[in-house]
Amino acid sequence: MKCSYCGKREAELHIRAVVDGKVQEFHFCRECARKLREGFLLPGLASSVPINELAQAVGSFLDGFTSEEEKENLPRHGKKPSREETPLFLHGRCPQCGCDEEWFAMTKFLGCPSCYNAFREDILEYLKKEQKGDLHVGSTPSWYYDEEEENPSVEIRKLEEDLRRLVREERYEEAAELRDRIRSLSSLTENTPHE
Amino acid sequence: MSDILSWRLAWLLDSPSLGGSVLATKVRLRRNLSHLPFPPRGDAEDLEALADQVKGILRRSSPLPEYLVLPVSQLGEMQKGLLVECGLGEPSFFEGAPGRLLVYSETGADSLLVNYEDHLTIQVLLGGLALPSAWEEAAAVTSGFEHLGFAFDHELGYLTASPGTVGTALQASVLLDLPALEMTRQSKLLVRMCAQRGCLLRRYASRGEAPLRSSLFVLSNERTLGKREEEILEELRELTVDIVAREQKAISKLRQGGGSSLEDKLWRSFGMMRYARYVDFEEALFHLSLLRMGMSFGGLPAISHGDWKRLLLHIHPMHIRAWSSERGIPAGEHEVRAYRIRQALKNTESPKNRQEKA
Repeated sequence: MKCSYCGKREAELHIRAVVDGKVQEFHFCRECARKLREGFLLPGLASSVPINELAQAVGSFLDGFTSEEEKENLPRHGKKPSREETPLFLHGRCPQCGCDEEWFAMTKFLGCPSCYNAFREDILEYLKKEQKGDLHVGSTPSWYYDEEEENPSVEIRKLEEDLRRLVREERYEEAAELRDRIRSLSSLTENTPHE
Repeated sequence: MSDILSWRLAWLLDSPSLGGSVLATKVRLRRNLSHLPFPPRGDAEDLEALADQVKGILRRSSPLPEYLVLPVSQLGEMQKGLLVECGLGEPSFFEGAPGRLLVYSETGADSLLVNYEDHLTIQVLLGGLALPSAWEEAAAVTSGFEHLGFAFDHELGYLTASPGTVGTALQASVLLDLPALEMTRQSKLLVRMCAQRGCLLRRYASRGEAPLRSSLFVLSNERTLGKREEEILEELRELTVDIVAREQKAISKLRQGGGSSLEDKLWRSFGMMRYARYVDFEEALFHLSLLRMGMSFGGLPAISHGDWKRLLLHIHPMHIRAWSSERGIPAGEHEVRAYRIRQALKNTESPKNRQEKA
């Protein structure tokens, strides 16, 4: 069967969808499917067709066409995509436990809590990509509260998190107020050396 | 072993949540002691000493109600398999290593994996969609061990053996059954949607790596850093609700569009499961999901959601093997599975009877 849109190439992708209560069939060649995913309008595709949904569906089917190399980067069912997507290379050796790149490459585990200091730069770099580079804002051990009071940077971090939430919720006026508060707090911390 | 087979697991006992699509919720918190190497690099003596320390804490104060302690090294293959299928730990945990313990409460709701990848993995397993209560429960159990001195960093939060789980060190997941989305081939689209929202959707795999061809999926959070626990859980809950709404939409589309063909499909599944003599695991999962779908909108003779979940667990390979070996039944796994399903479906109520009762 030829592609219904270019009429030249062989159709490789067949989608059946319900549009306006009627079952419709779409036959795409690989090239036209790509075009649809990239937002091109295809001649002969009726305006009643929900293009975005179709493009999304086409996009996920296109994954089946990707080369073996590209496939490696897609999440595979059943198996947690390995953390290898963002590589973490450790430089040096942990003075506490002796963990190094060789051991980490083999096990994917760090050796001890001190490794986080020994390889801090490598790990922060990795977390920036893997976890969008944020700092911890969640719960803390109970002993931590005493230190927290003396540490305005923790307070700032929490406020920044609130700020992001406000922006997400489009509460811009409150966000602006909070931003000013964070600014004044940060200028305080910059003036007072700590640690 | 028989105690595991007749176990009244907490996650099997719930009333259906979100149309029965969410089968279970699991919350895991990883914690490590600041002065010891992580278990993969720890030496046996330290790990054994930690195991003893944990046992001591449990005897004195018991952060876990009515707990049982199982040293992994003393478990037989069958017990390990049963515990994996019950959802208490991965096969890699049960491979065994020095000082490895499984501690669990009577209903399996609260459990603790000692010396797995991290020193302590606190786990709460509940039925339905229960993320906040599972988290609160996990946090309460965790606080009972806090005096051990958890490794914590001002910037990075709780430190874990894998750098990918640092921060809250919280892993929350829900077990979903999505037959309509599977029938309409939307799973790839879903995986992508979840990835965009910082979560991971993968196929259920009862024994570790090999994913099963079924409509069971596990949805879990990917990010552990830069978000509060409550936020992580809320995002996961919202995504779960969205996915289930899509499932419902797919069901109603199938019912409208498919007409009698969907009904026919569901009844065929029922007929097969009610009378088949040989059923392999994946086939059983496939049909049981369709049965649940058929039962949920009233057409098919029904068993309770709890009984259905129990059946789903009992047809897992190791549960079948354990059940037949306990009774000395020489029949093969697939025959026994067919028998167990037939027995469970014997007690179905036809919709007519249900109406009369009501």
